[in-house]
Amino acid sequence: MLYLRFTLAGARFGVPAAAVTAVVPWVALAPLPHAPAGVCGVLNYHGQSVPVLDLQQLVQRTPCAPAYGTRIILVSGVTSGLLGLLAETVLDTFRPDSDFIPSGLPQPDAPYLDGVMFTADGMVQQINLAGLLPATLQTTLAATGA
Amino acid sequence: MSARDRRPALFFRLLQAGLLMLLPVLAFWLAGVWYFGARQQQANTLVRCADRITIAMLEARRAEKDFLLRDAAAAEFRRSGISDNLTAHQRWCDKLLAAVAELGAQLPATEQGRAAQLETSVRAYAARFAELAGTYRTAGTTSTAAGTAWLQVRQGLAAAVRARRQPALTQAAEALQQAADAWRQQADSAAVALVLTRLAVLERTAADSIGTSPLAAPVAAWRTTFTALQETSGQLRDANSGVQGAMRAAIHDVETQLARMDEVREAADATEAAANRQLLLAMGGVLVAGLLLGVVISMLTARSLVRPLAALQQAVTALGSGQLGARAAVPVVREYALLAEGMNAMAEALAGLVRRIQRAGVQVTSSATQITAAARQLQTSVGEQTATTAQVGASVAEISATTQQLAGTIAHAAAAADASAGIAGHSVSDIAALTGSMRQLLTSTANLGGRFSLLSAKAQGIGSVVTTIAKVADQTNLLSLNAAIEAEKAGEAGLGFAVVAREIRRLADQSAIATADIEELIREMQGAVVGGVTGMDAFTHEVRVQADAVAAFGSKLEELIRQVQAVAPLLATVTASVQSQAAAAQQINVAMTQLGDTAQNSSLAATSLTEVATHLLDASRELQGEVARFRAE
Repeated sequence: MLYLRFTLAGARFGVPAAAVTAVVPWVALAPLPHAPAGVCGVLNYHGQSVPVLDLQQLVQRTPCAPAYGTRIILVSGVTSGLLGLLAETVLDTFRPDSDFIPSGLPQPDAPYLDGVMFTADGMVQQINLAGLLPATLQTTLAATGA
Repeated sequence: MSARDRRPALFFRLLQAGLLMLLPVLAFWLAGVWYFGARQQQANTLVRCADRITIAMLEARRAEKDFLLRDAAAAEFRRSGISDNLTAHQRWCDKLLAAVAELGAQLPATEQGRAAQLETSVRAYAARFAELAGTYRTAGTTSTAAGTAWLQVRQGLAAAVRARRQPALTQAAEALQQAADAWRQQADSAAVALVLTRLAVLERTAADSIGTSPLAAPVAAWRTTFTALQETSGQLRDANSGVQGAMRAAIHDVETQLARMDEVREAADATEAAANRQLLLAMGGVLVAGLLLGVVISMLTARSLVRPLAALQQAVTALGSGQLGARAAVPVVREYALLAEGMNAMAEALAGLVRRIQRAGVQVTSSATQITAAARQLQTSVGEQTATTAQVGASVAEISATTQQLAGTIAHAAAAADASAGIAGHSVSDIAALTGSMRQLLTSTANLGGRFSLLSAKAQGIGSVVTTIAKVADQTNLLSLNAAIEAEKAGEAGLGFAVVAREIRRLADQSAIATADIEELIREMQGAVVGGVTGMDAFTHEVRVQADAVAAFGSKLEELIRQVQAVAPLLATVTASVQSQAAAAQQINVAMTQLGDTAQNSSLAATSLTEVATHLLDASRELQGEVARFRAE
């Protein structure tokens, strides 16, 4: 199974490539007034409005830096449409030999952190796309996307 | 000379006067010593006699009292009739008489009557005491006889009383015995009276038979004895009182006489004091007379000594006042005569001397006057010369000093100018080289700046190319990623595509890494170029400013050097001439100093000469005046 690899404030994370629609450059986003925390704007993707979530802001409490490799990952299956995830160093994919294992520390405040894997380059954490958005935000985003 | 030697010498005159003054004083002293010694010895003898009389009298009275108080009633005296006090009394009476006799011998004839009366009284006292002692001796003998009789009666009485066996009689007999025993112990009149009373009691008690008893005869004998004893005792008492009265009278007489003797002595003392006063007056008179005599003798002697001296003094005074013809009269005394003759000879010699001095004095005075005038003239001319020389010398010295100072200063200036010219020559060549170097540096710096600007522009060009490459690499990576995702979604059909996509992404990543390195290098290079350009601009500006300053300094220095080089040869010429002038002035100065010293010495000599000449003139005038006082015929 292929995973897309990226970093959030230096820590390595991964999402399944199957859930990824496309990876696009970090272009100028249309700002959303009164947007929830972590939502940094709306992306025009081939005429379709895609809300973009700053994943580093969500996970590490710091916004992403404008650098080489900072890109938007478009994922489907979370909302009714597409969801953009802004992350750093979105440059590579990897295909692990084993599956992710539970970290051993349940985190009710961060349900999207689900399982860890130890590779030759170090530890990689899995982002669980299903637990990424709380119900209220999901509803809001669904309404926005609609 | 022999006739003159026979005249009395002054020494013997003085000795004679001293001895004459001593003799009366010596005689007066001897008389006083003898008189007072004799008077003192006589007074001492009288006092000693009076003391001895008083002591003997007191001792005799003490022996008398001791005899009456102790020995008169003692059993020893009654039995033997001998007593120590009696003997002592006799001895002291003898001494008293001897002292009275000695006093009588010492007293003057007018007082002999008193001495005889005193002796009579003493003898009366001794006779009365001898009479009293005899009475006591008689009483003692009687009492001893009564005692002997009592011893004879006692045995018989005791036997008779025992034979009668009557208690009353026995009691009376015992009472009698007790009284008799008491009498034997103390034989005074009271004891005798007690014995007689007891005897009468005994007789009455035994009256019935006593006439026939063997007791009658001894009692009767005893009564007779004690009656006699009582009578004797009465006689003794009478005699005692009478004799003691007479004895007291005699002693009173003696004491009266002694008191009179004291009065006599006091009178004698008063007389002696009066005599002493008279003597003192007499001695004072003698002393005063002796002194007066001494004074008169001294005055006479002094006049005889002084009169010739006065004559000599008059002669000397006349000589002193200038009368060289005056001569002293030759006196009688030898020493004075020698003195007067010597003085006359001296006056004669003095007169001759004065005559010669007067003649010489006139000549000396005229010569001294001439010398003084010449010396004054000399002093004036020498003084003028000295002053002139001193002035010239001072001026020359001043010139010399100034010249030397000037020469030194010029020499310093020439040396400084030479040194400055040399240093300036070197400086000019150095500054020219420096200016050239700076111009070259300026040119090189400008070229370098241009090259830096070019380099910067090239680097910017490279930068844009690299950015383009980086963008291409980014796009390539993005494409390969999306391709890999699409291949994954395609499943088995996309496997080959996925491999291609991965290779493309690897190449893109390598390109991205390389471009990142190139970007970094270009950024560093551009930073360095910019810093170098900035520093080069500042350096260029600084170099230009320095080059301008150096150029300006060089031109000024060259001008200065030209001027200095022109001055130095002139200074050398001036220095040479000034030095020769200074040497000449120095020589003149030395010569003038020597001349000044010589003139000074001459002036001092002239002054001394003038002073000496003046003194000589004064002395000769004074001498003439002094000599003029003497009139030498």
